[in-house]
Amino acid sequence: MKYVTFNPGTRELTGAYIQPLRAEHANFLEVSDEEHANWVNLRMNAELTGTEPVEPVDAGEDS
Amino acid sequence: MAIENANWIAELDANYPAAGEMVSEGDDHIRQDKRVLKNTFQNFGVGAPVTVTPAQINNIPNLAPKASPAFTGVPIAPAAGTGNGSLQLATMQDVQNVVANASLGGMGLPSPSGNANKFLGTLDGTNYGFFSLRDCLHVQDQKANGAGTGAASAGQNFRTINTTLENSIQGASVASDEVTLPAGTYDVTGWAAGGTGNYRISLYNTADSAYVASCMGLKGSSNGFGVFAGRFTIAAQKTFKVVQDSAVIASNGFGAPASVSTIEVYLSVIFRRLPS
Repeated sequence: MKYVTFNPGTRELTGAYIQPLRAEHANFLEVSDEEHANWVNLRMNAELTGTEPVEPVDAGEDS
Repeated sequence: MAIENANWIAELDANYPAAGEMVSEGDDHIRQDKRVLKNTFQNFGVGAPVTVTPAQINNIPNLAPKASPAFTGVPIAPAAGTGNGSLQLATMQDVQNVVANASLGGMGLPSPSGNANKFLGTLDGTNYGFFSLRDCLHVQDQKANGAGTGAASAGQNFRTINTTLENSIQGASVASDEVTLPAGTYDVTGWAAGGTGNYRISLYNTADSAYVASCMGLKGSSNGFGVFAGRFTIAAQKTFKVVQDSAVIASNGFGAPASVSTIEVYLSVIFRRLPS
């Protein structure tokens, strides 16, 4: 299955996987191919039932 | 006078008894006729009348023999029905039912369920199985455009693995930045971005605390990366991480963002399992 994992407190997605569900991934959402491919630009919606676009983050400081 | 000595119908003489024969010989004729009938039709009239017509009897030579009959026209027979393993003849209806209900499992082959994009074949000449020409696990560390990687510590740093791009290896998975692989022989190629300071990128067998493949030692820069490749065999399921051994503490020590309006990729590793 294709799924993403998320932090229910922040609604941030933390990973995207193609595999049978792992026990470590208690907070997960099965997603479409498109969602899986673009997971870094998505977050969970307020109801934690689906994903929604997230605003791009500011560029990090190069060291 | 003459009385034919007949035992079968063909031996009877239709002209006997002739006119003027002695009446006393009549009983001889009657007994002879009864003997001929009983000899010729030995099983007739025992318990049931014979009802076939002369036409039906005359058609007997046209009937198919029991041994190796050669039917013509459109012979039909009762349907044997499903699950019938007897010597009963099968009809086209039975054939259609078998074809309609046929399955790979019914033929002793593995189910195609869950084996998309794979091929059915045999490697050992005995058992069938599904195989992929590209048994592959491809994992990455992806982040949103502009997102950095945080500070690397001096010493051993385990890298983030948060994305599976492809996984066609049954039993392979990723969780907690750790790759789980089933037994087999693998070719692995990977790279990971680094930071300032000296560092080395490696694939690390966490189950056995052993380095599997490493890049050369790198003198880091803000946009450097290390590439590793190797082949390894594991006899049982093992877990792996990508480790960065760093000499110094560095911010964005696992790669700095490119910030070019696309996602940031800081690590990419491809495991290909070789056919066993």
